[in-house]
Amino acid sequence: MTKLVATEGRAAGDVLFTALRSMLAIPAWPALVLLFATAAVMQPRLLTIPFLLIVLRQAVPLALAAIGQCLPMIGRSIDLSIGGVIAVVNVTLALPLFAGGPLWMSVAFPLAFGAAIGLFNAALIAFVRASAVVVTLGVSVMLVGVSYLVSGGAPGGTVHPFVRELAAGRWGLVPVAGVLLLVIATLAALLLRRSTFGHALYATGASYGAAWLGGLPVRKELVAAHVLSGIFAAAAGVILTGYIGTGTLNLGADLVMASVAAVVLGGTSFGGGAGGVAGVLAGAYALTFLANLMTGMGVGKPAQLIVQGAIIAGAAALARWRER
Amino acid sequence: MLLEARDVTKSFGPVQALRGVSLRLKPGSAHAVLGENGAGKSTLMKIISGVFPPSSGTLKVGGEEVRWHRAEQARAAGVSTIFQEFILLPNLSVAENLFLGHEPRNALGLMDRARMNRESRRILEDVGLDLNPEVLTGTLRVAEQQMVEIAKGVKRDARIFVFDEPTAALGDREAQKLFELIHRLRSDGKGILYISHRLPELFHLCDEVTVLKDGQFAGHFLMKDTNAEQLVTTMVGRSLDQLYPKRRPAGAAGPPALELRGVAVKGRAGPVDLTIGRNEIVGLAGLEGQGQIQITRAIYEGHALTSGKILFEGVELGHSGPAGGIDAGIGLIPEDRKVEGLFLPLSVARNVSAGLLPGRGLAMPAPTARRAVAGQVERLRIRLRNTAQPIRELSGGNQQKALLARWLVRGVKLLICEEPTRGVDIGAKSEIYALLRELADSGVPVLVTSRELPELIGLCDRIVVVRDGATVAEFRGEEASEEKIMAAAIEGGKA
Repeated sequence: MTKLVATEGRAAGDVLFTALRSMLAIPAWPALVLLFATAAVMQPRLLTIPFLLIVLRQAVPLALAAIGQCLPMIGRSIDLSIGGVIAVVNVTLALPLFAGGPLWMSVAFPLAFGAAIGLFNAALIAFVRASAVVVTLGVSVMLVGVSYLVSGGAPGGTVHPFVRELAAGRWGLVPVAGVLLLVIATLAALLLRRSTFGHALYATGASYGAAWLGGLPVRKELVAAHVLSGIFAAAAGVILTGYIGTGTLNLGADLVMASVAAVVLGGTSFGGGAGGVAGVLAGAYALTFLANLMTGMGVGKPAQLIVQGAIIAGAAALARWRER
Repeated sequence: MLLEARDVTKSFGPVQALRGVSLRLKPGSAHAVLGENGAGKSTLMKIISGVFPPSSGTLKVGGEEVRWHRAEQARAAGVSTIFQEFILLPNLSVAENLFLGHEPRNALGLMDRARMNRESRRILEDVGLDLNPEVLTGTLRVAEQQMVEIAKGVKRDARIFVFDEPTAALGDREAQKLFELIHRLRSDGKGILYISHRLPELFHLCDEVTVLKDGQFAGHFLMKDTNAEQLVTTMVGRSLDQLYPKRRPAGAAGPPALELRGVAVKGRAGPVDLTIGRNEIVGLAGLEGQGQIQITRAIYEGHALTSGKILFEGVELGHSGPAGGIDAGIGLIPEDRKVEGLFLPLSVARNVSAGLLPGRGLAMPAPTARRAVAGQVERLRIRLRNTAQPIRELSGGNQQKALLARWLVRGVKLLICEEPTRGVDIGAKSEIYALLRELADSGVPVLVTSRELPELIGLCDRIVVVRDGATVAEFRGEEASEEKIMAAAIEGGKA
C-alpha cells in the first residue's frame, strides 16, 4: 500500500509532465510559436490584434472543415469528399432560387445535404467495408460533377445577404464567423470529451478489433462521425460562399488536404492519437497564418503549395514516429 | 571468466531499475536470470548487449573492462543477443541477413550471391536448420527466425549468447530444437545467459541461476542444488503453494449458471456438453486449436451454432455480436490482449471505463467512472503513475488487471478468461488467480482456457478436455494431472 501513497504524492508533478508531453504531441503548438517568431522578425505587422483577427476570420472555413475531418480520422477513417460537398453547396447557394429565397433554405439545405453525403459515405465504409480513402475520393469527384451541372458550367450570381453577413460581418474588430467558430468548436470539444460517442470513437480508432470485441457500436460511431463531417464541410461551404459572395467552379478543393493537414498538426494521426478540437483549431490557424506570412514575404502560390504539401507529409511522418 | 558484471546500477531519471547487481558467466555454462517483470532482468540484459552503459559499476568481458553505448560495440566484442522482438530485416533473404554488412565480393566488387548462399547453407546446417538461404526472412516462422538470429551469432563467432524469453512464442517441438542448439553452443564453450519465466526450462538447460527482485540481487544458486519452490520464493518472496487460491470444496459449485447442451460450433462436429455452477472456475484444456476458443467465442459473440443450445441462467442465448453477450451479462478477456483487448494508446482510465460504454446511446454523456476506476485500480493493485497514463506503458500483468477491471466496473455475471496470465509475471499471476476465485465465490462463475496445464490444474475446480471441438473428458481439479489431461487430449488416448 505504500506504493499507492507514493503514487498520489507524485501526482501533481506527473500531471504537469503529462500536460507538457501532450503539448509536444500536438505539432500545431510549436508550429504556431515558430510562425509567430518568424513573423516577429520578418513581418511584425502580422502580429497586431486586428491582423490576427483577420487571420481568424480567414481560418474559419478551414477550421470548420478540419473539425469535421478529425471525427472520421479519430475513428481511423477519413473524409476526402468535403471538397465536393463545399463545391455543391457553393453553386447551390448562388442560385437565384436560394439567393432570393427565404433564409432557412440557404442554411438548412447545405447542412442536410452534407449530412446525406456523410450517410452515403458511411454506408459504404461501415457496412460494405470499402476503403474510406477511395470511397470518399470517388464521392468527391461525383459531387464536383454535380456542381458543374447545378451551375450549368457558368457559375456566378449572388448569395443571400445573411450568408454574406455571417461570413464577412464583424462586431467591432471581432469577426462574426470567428465567434461562431469558437462556439461550434466548444460544442465539438464537449462532444468528443464528454459523450459516449467521443469515448467510443477514440477507442475504435485505437483498435477496431478491440472495440468490436468490447461491444462498442463501431458502425454507428462511424456513421455518426461521417454524417457530422459532412455537416461541418457544408458549414465550411456556407461560410466560404458568404466570404466570396458568388458561385465559382470547384470551390473547396484546397480545403480537402488542408483539413487533413490541420488535423494531423492538431495531434490526431491517422487512427486516433492525442488530438482534440483545440489542437485542430490551432492547426487550422497555423496553416492560415502561414499562408499570410508567405504572401507577405512575397512567396508565390506554387511555393505555398509545395510548403503545404511538405507539411502534410511531414506531419504524418512525425505522427508515425511519435507512436514508436 | 567470460563475462563479469559487478555492482551494476542503472537509473532512468528518478527510477532505479538496477541497484548493485553482480553476475558472472563462465565459458561453457548456461546462466539463467530470473525475476518478475520489472525486476530488472531486461535492463541488465540491455547493459550486457550494449544498448546503454550502466550508471555505475563495471562490466568486464574476457577480463577487460568495457563501456558500451551501442549494440554494435557489444556485437563486435562477441555478444549475440536474441531478443523477443527480432531485428532481422524481413525483406532480405536469410543469406543477406546473415551476411549483412559483410557480404562476400567477387573480383568485380559485386556481391557474390552464389558464395553467400553456399556459406549460408553451411552455417544454417551448423545450427541444425534445414532452410533455403534464399527465402525472404519475413516469410519464416518465429522459431526459424530465431534460429537465423542464432546462426548469425555463430557466424560472427560470438562468445556470449543472450536469450530473452526465447520460448515465449514457440511450440513444444520448436522449443526442443532450440534447447538442443543451446546445449551444443554450451558444449562448444560459449557462455549462455538465459531469461525465462518457465522454470522447467531453466532446470533442463541451465547450470546456475541469478535471481533478481525489485532491481536488486536476490540470490544465486546452482541449478542442481535448488528447486522450483526455492526459486519462486526468492523471486516473489512467497512460496509456490500460495500461488493458487483454495478451491471450492466438492459439491459447492452452486446452481448451474451456464449450460452448453450438445453444442456444435461452426466447422466442428461437437458435441460440447458443459455446465458451470455459479461459484465455479472451470477450465477448458486441450491441444492447441481444438476449438476451445470457438467455444468461448460462441458463448460471448453468439456465433450461429450448427446444433445444440447454450443456456445462461436458464435462458437460451440467441444474441449475435459481442454487444449482445455483454448485454446478457457476459464479459470476455481475449487471449491476444494487445490486439483484441486493449486500446493501447488510450489511458488506463479510458481502457477501464470502456466496460461501461456498451449499450449506451451515442448521444448520452460518457460514463463518469472516475471513482469506480480508481476503486478498481486500488482493489486490483494496478501499478501506474496515474490513471491518465497510456495503458501501453504498463507491464503485461497490470494490463491484464486493467482488462479485469473493465468487467468489474460493469459488473458481469459470467467472466470468460482466455489465457488469464499469458505474459504476466508470477506476482501478478497469483493476484489474478486470487481475484478470479473471489469472483467465483461471490457468484460470478469463471470459464478459463489456458495452454499451461499446471495453471488449469492449480486454479480450476473442474477441467474439461476439448478435442476436435467436442468435450471428451472431465476432471475435478484435485484429481487432475498433466498426464491424465494429455491422455484425454490426444486422439486415441484413453478418455
